[in-house]
Formats: sequence, structure tokens, C-alpha cells
Amino acid sequence: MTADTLTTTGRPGARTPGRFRRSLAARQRGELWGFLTPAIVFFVVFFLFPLGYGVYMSTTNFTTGTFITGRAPFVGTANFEAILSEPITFRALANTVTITVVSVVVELVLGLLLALLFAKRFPGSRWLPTLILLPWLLPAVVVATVWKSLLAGDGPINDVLGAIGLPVEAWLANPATALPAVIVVAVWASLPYWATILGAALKQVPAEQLEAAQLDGAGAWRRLVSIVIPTIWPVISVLVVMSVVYTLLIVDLVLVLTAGGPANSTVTLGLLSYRQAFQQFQFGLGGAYGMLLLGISILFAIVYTVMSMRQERDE
Amino acid sequence: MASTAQRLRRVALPAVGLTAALALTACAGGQAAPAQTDGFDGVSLTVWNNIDFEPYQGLQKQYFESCAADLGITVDVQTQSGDYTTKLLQAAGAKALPDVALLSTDTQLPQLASQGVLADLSQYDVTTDGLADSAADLGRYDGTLYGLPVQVEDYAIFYNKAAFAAAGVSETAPKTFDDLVKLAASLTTADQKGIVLPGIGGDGSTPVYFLPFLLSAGGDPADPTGTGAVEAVDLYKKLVDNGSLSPEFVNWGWESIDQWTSQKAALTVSGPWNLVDTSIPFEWGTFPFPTATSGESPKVNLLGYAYGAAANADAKKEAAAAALIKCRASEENQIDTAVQGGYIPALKSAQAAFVEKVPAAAPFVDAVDGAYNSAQLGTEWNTLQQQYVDAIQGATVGGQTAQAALEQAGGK
Amino acid sequence: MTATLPAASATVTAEPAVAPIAERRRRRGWTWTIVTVVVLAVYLFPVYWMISASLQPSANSADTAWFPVSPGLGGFEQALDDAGIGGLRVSILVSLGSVLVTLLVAVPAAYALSRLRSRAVSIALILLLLAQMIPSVVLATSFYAMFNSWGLLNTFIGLILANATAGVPFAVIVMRAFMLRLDPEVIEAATVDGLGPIGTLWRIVVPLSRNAIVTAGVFAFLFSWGDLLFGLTLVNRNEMYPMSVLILALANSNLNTWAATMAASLIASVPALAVILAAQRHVKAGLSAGAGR
Repeated sequence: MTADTLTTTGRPGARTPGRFRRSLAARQRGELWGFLTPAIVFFVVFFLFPLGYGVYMSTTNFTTGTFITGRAPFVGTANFEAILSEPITFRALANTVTITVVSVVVELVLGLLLALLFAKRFPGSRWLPTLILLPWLLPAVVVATVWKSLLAGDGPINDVLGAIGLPVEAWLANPATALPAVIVVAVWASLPYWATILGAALKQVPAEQLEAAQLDGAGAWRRLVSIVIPTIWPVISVLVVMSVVYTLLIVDLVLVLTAGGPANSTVTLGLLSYRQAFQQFQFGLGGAYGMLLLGISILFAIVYTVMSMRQERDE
Repeated sequence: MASTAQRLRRVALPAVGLTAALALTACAGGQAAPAQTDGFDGVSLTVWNNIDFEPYQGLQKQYFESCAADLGITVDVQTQSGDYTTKLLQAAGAKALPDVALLSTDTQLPQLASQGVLADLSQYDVTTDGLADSAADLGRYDGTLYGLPVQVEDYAIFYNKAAFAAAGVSETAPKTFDDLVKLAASLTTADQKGIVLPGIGGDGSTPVYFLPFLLSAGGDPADPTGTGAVEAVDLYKKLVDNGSLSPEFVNWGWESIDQWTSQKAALTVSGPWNLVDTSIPFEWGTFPFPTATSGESPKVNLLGYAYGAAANADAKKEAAAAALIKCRASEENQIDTAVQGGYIPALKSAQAAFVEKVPAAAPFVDAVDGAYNSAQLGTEWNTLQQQYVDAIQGATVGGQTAQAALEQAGGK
Repeated sequence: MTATLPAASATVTAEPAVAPIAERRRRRGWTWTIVTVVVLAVYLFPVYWMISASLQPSANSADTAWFPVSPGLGGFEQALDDAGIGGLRVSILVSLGSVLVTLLVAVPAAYALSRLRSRAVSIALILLLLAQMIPSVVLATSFYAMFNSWGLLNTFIGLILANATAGVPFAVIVMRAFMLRLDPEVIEAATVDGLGPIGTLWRIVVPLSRNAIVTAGVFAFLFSWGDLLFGLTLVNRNEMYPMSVLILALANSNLNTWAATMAASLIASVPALAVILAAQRHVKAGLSAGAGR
């Protein structure tokens, strides 16, 4: 292509013998590969190596001593067997999946609602919606610390709930309510991102199509389901994938909010990985939890890819 | 106001633990042959500590400089901020340890001693006379005296006098766990809980304040399913069940003291720093810990701050360092530090004088004799800590029995 | 309002019918404004709480009031005193450095991946997704081991490189999506004009992709700014801790630092807010373009 364009421009001085044509394209491809070099180096050093290191850690008896002696006796699957024989691992697995699924679903629904609200034209609709991004900008440490205070037994949330007659609870101290509370906080911090991206996507929906449907007598719900959602579906899919991966990996939010408690009711695989590695100095086990988490992400990615390929085939 | 250095000690554990382990590759320092030297003229020593806030920082300088003048040597007192443990270990590895260093007896002293970079102080005129055995032991590693403890830290129960008056309860110390449960219940009102204790995992506060209860019940911290542990966990359970300890304690760590200072709880546990906190807006007092059954004496965990000398090929320098330490550990210095900084003196005579000045320090001082050296547990403590937190949470908000909670937690 | 005369023409009588509809639309518009304001007020209450608490220097974590009755700046003083300024400086330098590294690595890569036609591109995209899936604890431990051998612990470079790992994959994906839409003729023209590869990239592609680059940069900044894990594990010296670690220390302190914790949190939020406000226009455009992929 490239070479063809050159030969047909007829620019002065552009001589194009066959050999030159091939080497130009090859040279350009070489240049592009050159551009990839920093990224490749970065990837190998800062992603591939840690990944390998993680596998190494999870299959050896890796302790703080290993950092010195470099020796870590290979133990095969012993670390995995160890963590899989603990009930707490399954608790963490259940929690991790629950938090992720519920968060993403809620973020999708509420995000869409907010985006639809912000898509309307009303006084202030150009700048008011930007304010919603504030929670998303806060570091996880800040979000968790503030919410810990809000959710306290005598905190403002309970003040309001009590005033309107709803049940009051020490949300983060009760094993039954702690996990939902964590989900609420996680959603609060991520929802703004969904609302903003979906808001931008909504602008892509052709207005004429919506008006035509309205004239045809289609109600708001019908318009939403048949026109809006299919149009922004690619954006929704990307958001879902990114959000699932991101939520699966959350560590700092849960760490600061509950440290896995009360009574280990909010432990997640990420949290257990941190606990084993940096509080118990059992890096082998920490690595095993990490690999388990990675496995789940990969599993999700595979399922997702298969499903979307099947959907494309059906269309 | 204490420094960020002190606060960060609690949080930055991960990196500290890792670097500490890494620095253990350092080679041992040179061992000096014990030699008698008299007259230290011309000797110049460096002293490290990590207390970087006033007035304590200024006091340290004063003590060392006046001791140096007495001995005819010069000193350079340097205050290290940041990760002191790492600095010490790296210095040890680079054979550049200061001549004299302040060491915490539960972490820094054992680590340096195990590398062989500290001098054996008993070769010099440094004795542990006047110290209780438990305090003296803090400075020992493998039987050898590597550090002379000057201040120690243990714990006691603090109470709000006004709360007692309001409830019409007399200010007598609870003798048994059951007494404590009853006392806490009688002090609980609509706006005030009887007691507040930390219960969160991960920041180290919960196990530290739990240990005195476990020890006073005759338990062994290394044995999480023993009777002592069960009774201590059961105590927490009873306190939550009867409403005197808020179930929210599982979310609170070191900052749980805030509940006590804002009078939302009548009783709490704290360390000696609380003795000199002038911001507490009410009259308070202290109690010793109760025991599980009557007639026993309470037991607490103890850690200390000791001065150690670097092992030095130059025997004169080493001797001078030891002499400097001995002078620094004098009674007046210890009393001074205690009154200003809220650290319990190591010397028994200094302790008595301290109690005369600050009567509330009595339970702290009484508990030093026979106290448990937390350094004994070594790295086991990391795993045990999480187990105890899990058990406490499981038995209280998790609804399990103390025995079941401990057994389940023992699994991981 | 103009009065209509009895003898007015049809056009004049049409006016009164139009005016009320416009008014109804305007009133309905204000309803949505009120709805939005209420939604935002409720949603942003925690932010208000943080600000209010930071102005109550005498409160502690147990008794923060809804409203600062006697506001004071004591919390801010304490936050900035106790190594707060140092932490802010570390966070700003590390985040900016991280943006720089991210863009240096990702811009050429995104361009290349948008121009190359080979199966390697699909593999690269899968690898990028995989990179984002690696749990942070695994990354942190590996970096600890690596940086320790290379002497990069407690350094700006170390933190910058570690934090860049959060920004690079996302940056490449977003910028590539944008660059796919660049007109190939413009780029070919540049090549023919004699601009080398770097020249083409710098003079033509970058200016055209400004929105996507700013978006990627903003995200890289925010990822780095909010990091807690790398700050906790790759640093053990007071003066090198970023803001998030200091906030954690303040929150867990056994001294009354509640107002200071909230003040530090507020201080820590300001640069992030400033960055996104400044880049708002670009980010909106960047996201709209990226959203269409």
C-alpha cells in the first residue's frame, strides 16, 4: 500500500525501482518495530519477569531468607495444596467473585442511569456532571478512611438511616453486613468512571434514530433497549472487562476498610495474598494466592472471549 | 507530640521485615579482646538513637554530653529519623555501626546480637544489678548481655474517674476476669461503653493489648489453644456479649484510645506514654490487669529500650562505650526520661522514685517483675498475631465459642 | 408580552401558543437540574464529610460532628508539619515521573501497534490485557527483589518505574484506538517530506493524538497518585513515603490525628482534582473517541 501510494503521487524525484519499493516498506516496518522496543523491554522487565517470579515464588518454599541466600527449595504444588485446604481460601474466593460480580452489575445499571440523566439538556448540564468524578479521583486510602468514619455505629449514615426509620447497624463490625458495605464503598468509588464513559458513549447514539423511534410510538424503555444499548454495546463490553479485572485485583481498599475482618468475612484473594506475603512473610503462600487470582482473571477473559466470539458468529 | 517515626513504626512493617531479613547477610564485626583500660582521654564516640521529638531528644543529648564530660571523652549524639532498624542493620553490614546505639529489645537487639556485631557488656563494669530479672533479660541474647535496658514498656488498664463516680462504683481494681466483666457492665450507660479495646487485624495493636490478658490467665503466647488463651478470648467474648465492649472494636486499632479520650468508654488498656499525655480532658487512674482466677498475680508482656555498644577491635573505644552506657543508665537520667517521656525506668530504684512522682505509674512498675519478654517468640509471632486476632473476632462478632474460635484460627 | 389586537393576522395569533411550550420545557429543564443537584449532593456527601472533619481540629475519630462549629486549621498544620509536605512532594514527583515514563514507552508503542499489520499485534493486545491482570502483590514482591539488588529501593526512579506499570497497558490501548483513526495519507505525506520516523511521530502523530495522549497521561497520573501498595513495600525511609502511606499512618496513629488525617486526605485530593480539571476538555474528547471502539 505504502509503496503504491508513493508511486502514484508522481512527486518529483520519487524514483521507485522494485527493490526500493520493498525495502521502503520493510524499512518502515522496521521503524515501527523500533518504536515497539521500549515497550517490549518495559514489558519483559516489569511484567514478564514479575510473572515468572510469581510462579517461582508460588512453587517454592520462599521466605525472607530467600532474599538473602537466593535459595528457595522447590515444593511443587505444596503451596497450592496448603491454601486450598484452608476454609479461608474458599471464603476469599466466594467474596472475591461476589464483590466483582455485584459491583460490576450495579456499576453498569447505575452508571447507565446516571449517564442518561447527564445526557439530558438542562441548566448546568454542561458542568454539573463533572463533579461526579470527585470520588473517583480520591486515593483508595482516603476513600476507605472516610467511609470507615461514615459507617461507624454512631456515624452520619446511621444518623440519617435512624431518622428515616431504617435499621441502624455497625456496618463494618457485623460479619453479615460487612461485605455488602465493602461493595457499596467500591461501587461509590468506581461509579463516576462508568457514568462518565457511558455519558460520552451516549453522545454517539444518533439522535435522528431516537427521534424516529419516538415518532413511531416507541416508549423510553423500548428506545433504550433497542437502540441505545446496542449502539453503545462495544463501550459497555470494554468497561465490563476492565472493571472485572480491576475489581478482582482490589487490595488497598479492603485492607484499609476492614483488613479482611470482621471474623474474616471480607477476605479476598488479593487481601490474603498481601497478608501472607507482607504480614506473615510467607511469600510462597502469598504467591500461590496471587497465581490463583490471576487464574481466575484469565478464566474470565477466556469465557468472555468465547462468549463474544459466539455472539459475533450468531449475528 | 510524638513523631511520624513512631507512628510509622506500626504501619511500615512489611518493608521493615523484608529489609531486616535482607540485611542479615552482613558479616560479623570484629571481636575485641577484653582489655582493661583506664583513662579514655582522646576517645571520641558516636551515639545513635531514633527519638526525634522534644523534649526527649534534647534530654538524650544532655545526658550523653554530661556523661562524656565526666569520662573525659567527646561524643557526637546523632538522632536518626526514618527506618531506624534498617539503618542499624545496614550500618552493621557496612561495619559502620555507631559506638553506642539505642536498641529496642524485641527487634533490633536480637537481630544485631545474632550477627555478632555487639560487644559483651558484662566484660566491663556494666551490671544488671538493680534491675528486675525480667528487665535485665531484655538486654540479653543467648545468655550474653548485649544491651543495658534503660527504659521499659508494659501495659496497664486506664480508667475514667468521672465515669466511676457517675455510676456510683468505687475505684477498686478488678481482681479477676469476672470482676472486670462485672465492672465494665456496671460502667456501661447509653452514651458510654464500659471498656474499649482494639480488635482490628493487621496493625499490631490488638495482639499487644491482648497479650497481658493471655499471660495473666497463665497462658503461653506460643500455645494458642491452651487454657490461658481460651480464657483470655472468652473474656473478650463476655465483654461484648454483655454490651460493655462495642462490637465495633473489630474495626479499631491504635486509634481506639480515641473512644476513651472522648469519654465514650470508661476503661481501656494503654502503654506508659498515656501517663504523660496532658491532653486528656478528665481525671483518670490506672489499674493492674486482672487474672483469670483469684489469688494469682497478673503478668504482662514487656519490651525495652537498651543501649548497646558496637563490638570494636579497639578495646579502649569499646571500654569507653561501655562506661558511657553505664553512666547514661544512671538513676537520675532514667527518672527524668520517665517523667518527661512516659517511659518506665528499668532500674528498680528509679521506678520507685517515678511512682512517687507519678502515682498512676504503680501498676506499670509492679508488673515489670516477672514480665514476659515478647522477643522470645521471634518470627513465630507474625503468624500467632493473626491467629489471635481471628480468634478474638470469631468469638465476639463471629458468634463462636472461645475454644472453637481459637481452634479454627489455629488452622491458618 | 405583546397584546394581540383583534384585527391581528394569523401569524400574530400564533405567538401566544408558542411561548407557553417553551416555558414548560424550561421548567422541565430545571426539574432535571434539581434532580442532578440532589443526586450529586447525596453522592458527594463523603467528600463534604472529609472537608468538614479536616476543619475540626479538636475532634477525634470517635466524635466528628456534622458541621464544624468551631472550625480551625489545626488539622492542616499538623498534616503539613509531620512530613506532610515531604509526602506531597514525593507523590507529585513520582506521579509526574510516572506519566513521563508511561508516555515515553506507550506513545511509540501505540503508534506502532496502530500501523503494523501482523498477527503480532493481536498477540501484543492479549499480552497487554494479561499484564493488567497480574495481581499487585505479585508485582510488588518481584519489584522488591529486583530493586533491592539494583539499589532502587527508596528511590524516585524505583517508585516511578513501579507505578508506570499501572499506566502503560491502559495508555497503549487507549492511544492505539485513537491512532487507528488517523488519516494514513497525512502520515505518508510526512514520510515523503523527509521526516524520519521519530520526526513523523513527534511532529505529526503526537499533535493529532493530543486528546488521547492527555487522557492516557491523566490516567497514568491518577493510578500513580492513588497507589498505596508500592509505597508501602518499596520504601522504608520516612522521607520517601508517598502521601497515601502517610495518610494511612495518620489514620492508624494512637495519637489524636483525626483532623490531620482528613486534612492530609484533602490535600492529597487536590492535585488529582487540579489535573483532571485542567485536562477536562482533552479527556472528554479523548474518551469520546476511545469510546467508539
